[in-house]
Amino acid sequence: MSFLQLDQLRKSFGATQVVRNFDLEIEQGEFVSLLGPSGCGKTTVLRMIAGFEAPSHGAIRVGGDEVTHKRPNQRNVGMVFQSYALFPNLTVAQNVAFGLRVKGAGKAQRAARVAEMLSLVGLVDFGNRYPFQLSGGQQQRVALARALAVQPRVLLLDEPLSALDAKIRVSLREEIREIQKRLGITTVFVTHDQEEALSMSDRIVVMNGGVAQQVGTPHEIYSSPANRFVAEFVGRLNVLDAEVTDPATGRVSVGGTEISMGRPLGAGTVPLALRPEAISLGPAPGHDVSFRGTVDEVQFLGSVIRVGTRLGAAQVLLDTFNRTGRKPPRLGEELEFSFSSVGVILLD
Amino acid sequence: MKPKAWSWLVFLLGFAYFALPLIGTLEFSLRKRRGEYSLDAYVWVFEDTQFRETFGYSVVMALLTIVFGMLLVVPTAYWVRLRYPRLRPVVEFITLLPLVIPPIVIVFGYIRLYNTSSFLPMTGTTFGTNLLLMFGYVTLSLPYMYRAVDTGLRTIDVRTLTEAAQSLGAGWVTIIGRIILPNVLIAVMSGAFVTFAIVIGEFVLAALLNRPAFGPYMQLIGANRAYEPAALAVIAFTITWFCIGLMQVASRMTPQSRAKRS
Ligand SMILES: Nc1ncnc2c1ncn2[C@@H]1O[C@H](COP(=O)(O)OP(=O)(O)OP(=O)(O)O)[C@@H](O)[C@H]1O
Ligand SMILES: [Mg+2]
Repeated sequence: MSFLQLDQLRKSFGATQVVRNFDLEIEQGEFVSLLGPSGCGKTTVLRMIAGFEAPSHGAIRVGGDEVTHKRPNQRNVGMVFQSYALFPNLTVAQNVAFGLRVKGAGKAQRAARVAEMLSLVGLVDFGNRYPFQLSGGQQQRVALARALAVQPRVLLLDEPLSALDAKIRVSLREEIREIQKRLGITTVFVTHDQEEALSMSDRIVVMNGGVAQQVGTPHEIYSSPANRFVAEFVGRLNVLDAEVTDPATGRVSVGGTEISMGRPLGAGTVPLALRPEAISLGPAPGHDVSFRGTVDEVQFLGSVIRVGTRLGAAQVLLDTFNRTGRKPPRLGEELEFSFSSVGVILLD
Repeated sequence: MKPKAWSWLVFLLGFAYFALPLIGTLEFSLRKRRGEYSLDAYVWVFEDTQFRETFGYSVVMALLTIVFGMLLVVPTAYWVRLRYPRLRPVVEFITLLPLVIPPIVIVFGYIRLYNTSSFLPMTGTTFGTNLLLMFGYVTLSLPYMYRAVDTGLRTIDVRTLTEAAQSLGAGWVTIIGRIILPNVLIAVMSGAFVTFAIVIGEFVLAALLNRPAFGPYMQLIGANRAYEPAALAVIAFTITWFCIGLMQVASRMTPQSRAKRS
């Protein structure tokens, strides 16, 4: 049985239903991200697990115990907030020791645990500082240490990195993942940043409108999105409307280019999607579909060059590595492009 | 005139408005001995046992008022901010009532409600009357205390800090005592200064409840003697400011304010 179970969770604020029939099973030690656009109910799900909101319907179980109606201070669920929420009147060490003190741990025990936690987050020498004397990244690390000090059964993080600047965001996310793996703590991480979710998670829950759209590993979510929303929300996507030319064998045509989908389709038009990295400049091994197009956009992004062209009525963007000794395409140049029909995602 | 000259004029006028009466009182209090300045009036006041008793009584009352006011206002203001933000205007209005309703009305109400033949005969014992007086003072200080604490609460993220503490296992007493109160202590202090000043000078409640407070004593001396009331006023003024200064120092000793200045 899984360690954290959310069973048919629902939450309404007044007449608006914010979370609908949300099911999720998380294994012990797993790192799961809730990913979705603003207002889709990620925070609400997290707050229900923490006990700050009561579900309108459904059950929450941690380690087999039903906690749905337990008060937040009796759940032993750690929480890290976007705004750090450190106690401004307490030093770093006192902040980290707060939960232990509440539990009635002795002075020596507290000191030992605080030292352990501060070394875990790399802030050994900061115990006597006050929160306002720390940078945002340091404050968030203290918040993490504070949440972990009481050995919670589940760790919840609500966009813990959004208030930080890009560089710290990347290094801290690696650090959080590292610590999470080392402690083997079951973690739910809320983010609207897909890169964060893809790089950190064991599994991702893509949410929209209070509904879980897809649950899967980052690779599954990215390569076989369950529906159009997931496909468009996660990663960049070229969407093409294709004319079905042979429903029985699944042949379609986009602007004169024939693609074989290899499975029967309904007649009419179907939406197809192609990731930018699935298309290459010129022929490539395994690419069975090719077309000619005029370059109408070139973005130089450092290691990657993003090139735009048209396929049928739609603009397609493709990413190609910037190789030394090869000139980037020029605007207006006519080139051959190719992709593999296996990489084409059929949207429904 | 130039704008700068105008602002100086306004400043001087304001200064004169506040300082002249004080200087006048001080000067008058020193004239007990004919033809020369002396401290005779002060000696008289300090030798009067009633002065020491009434002033001590009022100081104790003021401190108790501050403590009880804090115990009442901090959790209330906290709770309203956390759970009933929509009720804030209502609560604020209620706390303003003591400014609109004269103390004489409050004390008559008290006497009617809690006299010796009532359901709760608080005025029957000295302790009960003292308690009643203290609660009266708490009421009078409510507008200042509530405002100060509420302003203090505005500077922290009450909801998130509460949730952070809850997720670490803390209950309400711990949250208020270890997180909320220490963070609004400086604000509470500013409410406390005003409370202190109000209680020291308060006359109506103490007189009608017949308690030996400093206000009625001042009135008594003022009605019966010439130079001593002025001396008394100067002394009361000095001691009050001294006490307020002490509270300032005490509030600076909190770790947070120490940290803020470093
Ligand atoms: N206390 C509340 N009362 C009424 N509506 C609320 C309350 N809390 C959240 N909502 C609504 O519920 C919806 C989901 O909110 P939630 O905070 O869970 O979104 P989110 O996915 O975390 O978004 P974001 O990425 O912006 O943080 C929003 O439309 C929000 O307006
Ligand atoms: Mg949110």
